[in-house]
Order: sequence, then structure tokens, then C-alpha cells
Amino acid sequence: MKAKLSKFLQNQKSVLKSIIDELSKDFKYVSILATDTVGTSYGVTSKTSSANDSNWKERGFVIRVYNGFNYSEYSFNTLKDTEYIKTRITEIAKNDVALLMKKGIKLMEFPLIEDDNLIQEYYSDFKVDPFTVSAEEKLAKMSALVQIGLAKDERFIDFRVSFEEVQISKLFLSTNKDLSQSILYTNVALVCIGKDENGVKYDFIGFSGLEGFEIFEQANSKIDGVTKSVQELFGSTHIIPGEYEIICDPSVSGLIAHEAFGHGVEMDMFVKNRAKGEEYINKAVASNICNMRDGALSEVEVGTYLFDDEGTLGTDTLVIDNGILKSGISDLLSALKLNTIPTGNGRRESFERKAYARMTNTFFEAGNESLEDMIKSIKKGYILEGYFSGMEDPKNWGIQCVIAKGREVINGEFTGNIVSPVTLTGYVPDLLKSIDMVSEGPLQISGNGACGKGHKEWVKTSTGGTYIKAIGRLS
Amino acid sequence: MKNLITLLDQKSNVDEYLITETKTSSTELFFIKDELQMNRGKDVEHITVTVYRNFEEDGKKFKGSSKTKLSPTMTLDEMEALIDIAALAASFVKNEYYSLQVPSDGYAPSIPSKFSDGDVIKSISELVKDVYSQNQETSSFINSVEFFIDRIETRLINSNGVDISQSNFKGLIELIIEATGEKESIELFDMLYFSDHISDDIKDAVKQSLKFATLRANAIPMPNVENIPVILNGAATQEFWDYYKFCASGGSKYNRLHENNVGDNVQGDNVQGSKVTITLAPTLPNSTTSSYYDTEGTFLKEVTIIKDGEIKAIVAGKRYSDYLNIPTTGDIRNTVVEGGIYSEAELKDGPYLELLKFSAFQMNPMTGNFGGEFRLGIYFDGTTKTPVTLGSIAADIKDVQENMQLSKELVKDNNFIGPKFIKLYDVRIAGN
Repeated sequence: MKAKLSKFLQNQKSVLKSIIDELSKDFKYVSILATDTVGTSYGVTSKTSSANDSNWKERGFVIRVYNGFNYSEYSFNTLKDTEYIKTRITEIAKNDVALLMKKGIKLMEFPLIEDDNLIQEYYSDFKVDPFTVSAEEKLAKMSALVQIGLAKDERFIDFRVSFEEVQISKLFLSTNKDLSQSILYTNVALVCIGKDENGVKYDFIGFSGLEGFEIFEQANSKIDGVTKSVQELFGSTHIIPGEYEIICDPSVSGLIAHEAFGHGVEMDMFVKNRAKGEEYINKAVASNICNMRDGALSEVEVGTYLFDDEGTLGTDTLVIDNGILKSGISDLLSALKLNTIPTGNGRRESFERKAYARMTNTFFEAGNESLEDMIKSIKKGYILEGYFSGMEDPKNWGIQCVIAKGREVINGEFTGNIVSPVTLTGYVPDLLKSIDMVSEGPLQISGNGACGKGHKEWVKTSTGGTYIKAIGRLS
Repeated sequence: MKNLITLLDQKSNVDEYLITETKTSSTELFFIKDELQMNRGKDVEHITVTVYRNFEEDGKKFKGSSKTKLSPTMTLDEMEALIDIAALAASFVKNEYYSLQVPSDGYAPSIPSKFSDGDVIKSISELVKDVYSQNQETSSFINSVEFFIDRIETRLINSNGVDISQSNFKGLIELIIEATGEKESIELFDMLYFSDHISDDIKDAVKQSLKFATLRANAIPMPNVENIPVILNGAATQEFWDYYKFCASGGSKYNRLHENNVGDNVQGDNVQGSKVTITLAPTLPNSTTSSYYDTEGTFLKEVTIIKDGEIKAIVAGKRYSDYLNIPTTGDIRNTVVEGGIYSEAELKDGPYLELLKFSAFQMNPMTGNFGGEFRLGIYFDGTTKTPVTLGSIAADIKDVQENMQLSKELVKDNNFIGPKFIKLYDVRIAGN
């Protein structure tokens, strides 16, 4: 089946085009991004259940115009009074800019966007339309999973299942562009919470995709992974801070790709001189077995789309090629300023927010090693599994990843010791240059959560890879 | 709105409802160095309707609910179709019964803000002036800044007759400071939240960021050290208290994540340092989270949740207070932590590691684990103070809370007032 474009957007297209035509008399560049995203989030715990609209649900518009120096924008969500809309964007782009200049504020000048002729559309594929499955069936399926999870260990105090279905519809219109897309994705998370005399321990597993209700087919097989993980955490101890040999599971590899390099090559940071990556283009930043990609077209996951929120077509960017930093990822305005080609990474949290250079699907490519050989090669170290959070430092290439647990390996054998939680910190090139083994595929990529820029501007991204072996500072 | 209320009142498949309507007007400026890169405006209206279904099974009462977002572009017929879908979903959601909030006659004066005095574009240009007036240092400077002022008007209506309107301002400055050291240039990141224009507060915050950036530019990698106390200063001193708020949370208690009751000691039996006292306040000056009502329509009153390490009140909204049969405090979003008896000078007597900036300090309230990588600290070995970076700390609050010492000096930051310094012993420090 194909995702369908919102009828509301189809019906408003002529109104939006007439606004563009009218504004084009006063402004050399005018575009409108229109969004109509629907979705529902379901949750079941041992004691409660819920079924609410997804936080990603939105319907609205953002106009961008060239104000003669740079760009001004207006976000709104009603079309009742199109004259008012035209008046407001004119006030913002002319009156407000004039007042700010009068107050002594300097304007950064940008070139005019070349508005190429482009008419394209994209509708993602799925098997079972989740919106046609009743809430009753979804909640019943989730309740069954909760009961299976809870029954695994009497120390479990809760087992939580969440499911989200989201269908994004977007139009991008300008004088010469007419782009439309509809993308349907789903994600499921299983959270196991246990408690013993040492306190509360928990872990989760999430999976996602441009899939429909068929995503539930994976759920049963994932329960044991998360429940066993919590059972192991009951006996966990704290790690002795220090430098260790580490093997990162695909989720941790993905977190490193995302935090270590993804944020560091967002090219709006280049414009601000906030990214060290700019100085390292065509230089070695990782070991020569390391390859990393980002792009709406790099994989089919929650970061996939035809066009970004500035009307640039999505691409597949090879960021690190055999250890050499080859390219950043760019929004349209940063590319204009840097005189580079935009990579289709200009994304907004919603129609209400500004577009920034953002990641899409980010991952380390697979290597040739077997996981077994990688484990055997460790003298003293840990396999790092699952993560809670990460934080970037694009200017100085520091990294912080909070990881659910480390599984101790000494002389190539598991000792049975588990440490938790584990914080991986350090200098990104040191970490990436220490990668000496990358496991064979298949790639494991997922996008259950959301990525922020700094501490805001959340967008859906996917991350992953395979197992990588490196040296890391753990605490 | 009137038509929506009439519609909901007439729907036989909706037993109760809650409507939240927000109208937000925003002005936003984005600067790189001292040049304006983009200006933006926003006018949006959001309507959220929660529909409730009450039902009985085996003589026991249950309540289902479902929340749906309505767009101002929708006709009443389109809204009704979404309400019907939500009502059907609510009939399969099965939670223990609870009642919705009823009207209160609590006094709720308007929350003052200078932003209500005039043109927001003029107000935001004054903020720009405040921020850049401090950009005089030679060793550190403003890399980029984003300014946001939102005027938010909220109306809350439920089927029990609650009908509350309030307006407030939410301001945010995202500030990136750059500094050049001997080896490389560095940056520091700050989010300044406010609801009023207090010029001196903004200037002081920028001045401090510039000073910290200069320190970080000259910082050395954290050396390996053992057995020295850690002093938290800055944003970490706010997130730190999430553990204790979790210990007094009614939602967490209902979900069996803790078993604490009023009267229980949550700080340990042998407190040698400062005892913890936390009060939640509905309003604080210049706080973006000040409100006389929570999102369920509960009129909020100040409540002390922990006094000298002992729980005095379990915090719960209407739903969880019904479940636990305790008073409804509502969701209060300003936190006041009582200071200790120690002066800054006393806390800094002897070797210590003072941590001023983390990449992202994290307190896991469920487990009590906390820590993170720090971007700036001051290491005092007993004779010399050295700016340090590239280190991390980790600990479990249950292992350090009996000996922690709180400063008598307080800090006010948006929705928080509390000790400026928290001194902790036996924290694991990872250096280089």
C-alpha cells in the first residue's frame, strides 16, 4: 500500500499558490511549506492504558520570503483570512526588519535562492494501514505483551508497551516548485522495570520503520532481550573509571555516529564557525576502516523523505570515507552562504519552527569482522549495550554517551560481570581513530526517539550500524 | 469555542471532556556573531479536546480517555468526526476511575511582565541590546544567539464547569559564547529562560557566560585525582533535585516505582551534612512556568513536599490523588530548595573539584544515578586553582546524600531557587 497525501492539503493548494503569486509581486522569493501530519500514540502499562493524538500531529503553514538582505518567515495555522497572512509576512519582512535596522542591528546578507523548476511526489510503502486497525485490537495486543513481559520475573514491577503511528503529509510550493510527499512510519517501545533490594533497574528496546501495523510482528521476539537485560542489571556494579577496550553494539555505534560526527558536520555550524569538522574536510578523522553515511536516501527509516522542509531533494551523503571526512550535511541557507550544494538536510521540528541543518538516517557502514573474533581479541574491556542519551560538542569534538550497561570481557571471555550505567566520554577523533574492527552486516538501524539541536528543535532521526571495536574512556 | 462546547455537551458518546485552547504569538530573531541572519513571526491557535468515557465492569468503576488535537482550519463537522474517533478509542482505554476537577474560587491575579507593555518587536530589540552590551571582552565573544518571545493565552474548560483563562510570556535566549585559547577555540552553550524583561539579569548571565568561556579556553584536561569532594555549581544544581521530587511523586507511587509515604525519611538515617527541604511554588517572579492553575484546572497552592529529609506531602494531580486518596496538590512547576548552613568559603576550604558546566548533567530520578561529562570545572589541589575540562563524574545519590553539604548562598534561575553550591563526597571522577 502507499501512504496518501492529505486531502486537506490537496484542497488548499490553489489558495496557497494564489498567496505565493500575490506575495511574489513584492518579494523576489516566496515559498510555502504546508504540513498535515496525523498520528496516534498508544500506551499500556501494568496498571494504565492510553490512546492520544501523537505529539507529532500538526497542520499548518510557513511562508519564507526574501526581504532584500536575507530571509524572513511567518508560521500560521489558519487560512480564514489570506489578506491578514499577506499583511503579517509583509510586516515581518519589511516593517520589523526596518525597525531593527533603525535600532542599529546589522543584517547578514544572503544570496537569492535559485528557484529551479521541479515537480515531484513521493508516497511511502507499507503493508497494513495502522489507521484501519481498531484501537481495541491495538490495546489488546499491547496488553498481551505487557502480561508476557511481567510474567518473566517476579521482581518486575512494570512492563510498558508503547506504539505510535504517524502519517506525514507535506507540500512545498514556490513560484517554480511543486513538491508533495506522504510518509507513514510506526514505532514500538518495550520498557521493563524491575526492583530488588538495591533499587530500581530498567531497560528498553525500540524499533521503528516506514512500516504499517506489521511492525508488531517483531514485538514478541524482542521481549526476552529486554527482560533478560533487566535481570542482568539486578546484579550490576559500578565501573571503575578508566580507559578500556570496548565493543559497541549497533545502537551504541549509531549513537556515536550521531553524536560524534552527525552533529559535528551539520553545516549551519560551519557558517557560525561552531564546528571543528569544517577544518577537517578531506583529512583523516577516523581509522581507515570507518565509513559513515547520513541522508534521507541513505536508508529507508524514519529519516527518509523526498524533499526537506526547504524544498531541497533528499540525498545520500558519504560523510566519512575510509576514515577521511568527505562532506558535511547542509540546509539550503547554509549552502547558499558557504557556496556549496545543499544536501537536503534542512529540517524543522514543525511548521512553527525555523529550519536547521539536521540529520536524517545516520550510521556506520558494516565491516568484515565476525563479532566472535572481535570479542576474542579483547584483553580487558566491555561490550556496551543499549543507551539512554547522548550529547554533542561540535566545536570541540567532545562526546558524552550514557549507556545502559557494559558486559565485562577478559582475555576474550565473558566474565559474567555487568556494570551499569556507563558513561562513554572523550575526544571524538581519538575514539574514531581507535576503531580497529567493524563487524559484518546486516545493518541494524532504528529511530524510536527524537534528536534535538542543543536542547530544542526535536526531529525524528534514525541511527545504527553494526558492532565496532575501539578504545573508550568509561565512567 | 461556543459551538465546540455545545457539540460536546450534546454528544452521547462523550461522558466528560476537557478543552485546552492556546493562542501563541511569537517574535524570533536569529543572530550569527552580531548580524541578524533571520527574523520570524508566528500566530497559531491550538485546540486539544480530551474526551472521557466512564464504565463499570464487575461492579468496579473505570474511566477511559483520549486526547485529540483540533485545527482551526476544521469545520464543526470535521471536529465532530475526530471527537467520535477519540470517544471510541476512549471506550477501550481502561484506567481506574477518577473524577475531573471542579471550579475553584481561588484568587488568580494576572502575572506581571514588562513584555505586555508594548510592541514585542521593540521589546526583543531591547533584549538584543542587553545581550550585545556585554560583548566587550577580548578573550571571549558572542558566537551566535537566538531570541524568542512568546505571548501565550490559554483557556481551560471542562464539563464540570471549570473555565479558566490566563496569559503569560515565555522568553528564551539561546546563547553560544566562543573563546580562543592557546591551542584552540572553544564554545559554551546557555539557555536563558524568562517571562519578564529584567535587564540586569540578562546582562549578568551573559557576562558570566563570557567569563566561563575564557576559563574553558584555558582549561587543561582533568587529571586523575582520588578522594576529593565535588562541588556542583550552575545548571546541575537544579536537575539534582529531580530525585527527591520523584520520591514524593504520586504518579510514581501509584505505578509502584517507589513506596514512600508522608512521614518517610528519604535522605537516610545518618545525615551528617545538610538536610533536604523542598517547596513547590505556583508562582515565582520572572518564571516561565508560573501559573495559578495546572493543566487539569486545579488551583495551585504552595506546598512543602520534603522537610529535613522527610516527606511532608505526596505531589499528585487530580487523577493520582483520587487513586491514592490523598489531597490534590496539582502539577506545580516552580521549585524552591532551602539553603544549608555552609558559606561558599567554608565549602571551598581544602581541595575540591567545582563543576561549572556539563555537556548534559543527568540525574536519573528512578535509579538515583547521576553525573555526566563536564566542560568546565575548577580543580583546587589545596594551593592552586586550575580550570579543567574533559572529565566526568558519576555517583548514586543514595551513596552521597547523607554527607552532602548545601550552601547558604542561593541562586535564582527561571523556575528554581536553591543552594548555589552542593558539595558531595565519594563521587567517582574520571580524568585523563
